[in-house]
Amino acid sequence: MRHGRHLAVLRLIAVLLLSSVLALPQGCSFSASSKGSSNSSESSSDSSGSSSRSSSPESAEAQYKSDVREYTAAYVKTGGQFDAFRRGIGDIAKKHNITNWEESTVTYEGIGEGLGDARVSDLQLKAYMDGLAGQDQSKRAAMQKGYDAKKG
Amino acid sequence: MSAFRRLLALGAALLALVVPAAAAEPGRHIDYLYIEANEGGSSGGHVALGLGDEVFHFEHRSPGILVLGLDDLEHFRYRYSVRENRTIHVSRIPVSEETYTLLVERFRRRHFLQTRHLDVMDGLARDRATLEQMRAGVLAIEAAGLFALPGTPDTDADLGALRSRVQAVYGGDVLDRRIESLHARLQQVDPAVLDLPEPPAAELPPVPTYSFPQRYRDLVSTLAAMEILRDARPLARDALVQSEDFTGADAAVAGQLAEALSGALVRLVASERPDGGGALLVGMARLVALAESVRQGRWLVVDAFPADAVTVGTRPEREAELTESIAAELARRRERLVSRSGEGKLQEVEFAAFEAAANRLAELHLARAEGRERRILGASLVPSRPARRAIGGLDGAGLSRALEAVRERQEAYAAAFKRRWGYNLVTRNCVSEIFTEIDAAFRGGAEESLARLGGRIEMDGSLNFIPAVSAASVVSAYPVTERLELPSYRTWRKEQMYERENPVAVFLRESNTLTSAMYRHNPDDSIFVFFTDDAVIARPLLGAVNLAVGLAASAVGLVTWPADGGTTLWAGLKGAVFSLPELFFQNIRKGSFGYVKRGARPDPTPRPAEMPGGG
Repeated sequence: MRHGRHLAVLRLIAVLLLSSVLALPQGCSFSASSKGSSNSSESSSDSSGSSSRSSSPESAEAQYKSDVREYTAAYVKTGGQFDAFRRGIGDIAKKHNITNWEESTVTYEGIGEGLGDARVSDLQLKAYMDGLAGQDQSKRAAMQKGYDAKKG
Repeated sequence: MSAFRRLLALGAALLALVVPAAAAEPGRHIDYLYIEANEGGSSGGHVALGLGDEVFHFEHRSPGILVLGLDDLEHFRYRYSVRENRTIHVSRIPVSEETYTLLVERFRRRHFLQTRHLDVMDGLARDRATLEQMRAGVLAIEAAGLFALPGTPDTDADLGALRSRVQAVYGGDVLDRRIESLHARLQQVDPAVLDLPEPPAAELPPVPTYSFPQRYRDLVSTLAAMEILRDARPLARDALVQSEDFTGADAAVAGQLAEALSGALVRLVASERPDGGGALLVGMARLVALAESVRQGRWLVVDAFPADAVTVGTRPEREAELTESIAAELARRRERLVSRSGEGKLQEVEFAAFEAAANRLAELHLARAEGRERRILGASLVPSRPARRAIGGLDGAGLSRALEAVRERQEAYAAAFKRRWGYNLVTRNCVSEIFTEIDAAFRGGAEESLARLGGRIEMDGSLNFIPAVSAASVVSAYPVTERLELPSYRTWRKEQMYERENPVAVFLRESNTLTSAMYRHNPDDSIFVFFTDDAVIARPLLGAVNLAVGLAASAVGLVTWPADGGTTLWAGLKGAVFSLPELFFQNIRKGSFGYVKRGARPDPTPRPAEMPGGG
């Protein structure tokens, strides 16, 4: 009886030691969510969300533009249907808490920068302008500005 | 020295002749960050690469994948050195402007690539959920739940005015025409034409696709929005959240914002963008909120909490601090909104941030009044309250086939992602991937990396995969010019206390969780009594006490299991496990802090320091 109790205690210690050994080398930050770190504690209430990027308006705008730029440049390389491209812009905008992305000149600057990054021709730029900005001069100008800044 | 290393050194020497400017004119620096271990997320420590204000670090995520995260420096510090209470050690390596740019581009590209693939996987999950709803004949439409149910006899005056504006621009029957056209398009969408994304195969971002479920969902969403506008349907009774009374120019600002939004919505009705429905629903709800604000002389905002919002309890001792912090945030956001209101446009990012802060503050008050846990507003601030909408006339067999195809593609995509970027404790972890990416940033690979950075560490056959070991290797292999330290929050707070109070009293009081003035048990932490990160000599003794406490808590947890669902048992077992290394002079656990207000966070400037001795 006493022998059995000792064995049980030894078993418990072995389990704990094994757990310890397993816990020790778990290098690198682990996030249970596939979307990475998200605050589920009180800190969320003090920030503008659990985004891992800065929450200042200027920075948020710059991050949005940067994402649109990268997405556009990638689209020029990979190709794909144009409505799928536009739908993708909507998804990126929503991640940045923007629903009416067509009204934001930042969107068009970002697209222009992406086209500049991808080194598209002036002719291709015009085609994108027609497809996305129509005859809206401020949107076309924003695209041109972004394009010039990157192609420069 | 191995033959490979000799070859590498020779290659690097030759490359140094080819890229002399890059090697000789350091104008920038890169920071190798080693973050000490703590229980929970990374008991073996963590590493990151600091490039200017951006921090890149590979996180092990579920299900067994390694993803490059991108934080800004401030957030990274708050997360690791404040909330997780872990000291960050910085090794600074000088590099040329060109080398720096190549590294930034490489790491940003990798981050973008993975983010896009993760987004596609999220999209596939949404497609699957949509198809399941479609098979059941009911679709949940985001943001439609902000409005009253169809058939409501009442109309909303502000939406009525918007409808008149729309009709004045596009014709009296514009909404009927749009609705008819949407019905026709819904009939044409074919579930056999799925247009699903291909699994990742190369170092290329995914080709954008517009899948059948997404297309269908967008059309139904736009249809719902057009019907609500046509009927000028009022908001649901609890769709608005009351915020603060108007002060100063608030009334004029709200009026200007409403006018700007109304104009934008008129244009949106005519837009051919595929995802316009959701934007129109949210915009209309915000328009009504702004108009109602003007009438009531106080801010009203749309309820921004998602239907499945996470809830948390607020500890009473933190409530006043939290209220003050969120109120300050709301004041900042309002000021910003007012200052930019004269631009004649609704700056949506700023309006959403203001709306979110108002929601958070109202929720804090409401949860306290109702004696319930409060809801947390996450990264998405766009109001999304869904409404269920019956759909019909769909081919059931076709939907089943589509669902099966989406499920298969979802699995294939996830498998391909894992094959490409799966986590391995030794061969592919947060350390190995940083150095792999550094080499990949240069055309000449490892040789050019050595030439440009003046050093390189080997991963194969070494212990460098362990974060602490890699940090020491970086110091010896690279021309590190500065070694800095960002102290953990507890260390920093103790230093402040030592300056103001009796050091012995501070030492004794802050040595344990029972009398500490700064630490309150965080639900994420295990149960323990003594902090041992700063008690090297006494560590085994204190660890023994911690072990006993952990085991005792586990025993109590067995009894309380039915009441607390095993929370105490788990915390006790973790307490025991993380005490064991302490018996052998090793420390992992440091405790953590759930929330620290901005004004109480450590000085962000890193200070000179010696490298860590481990753990």
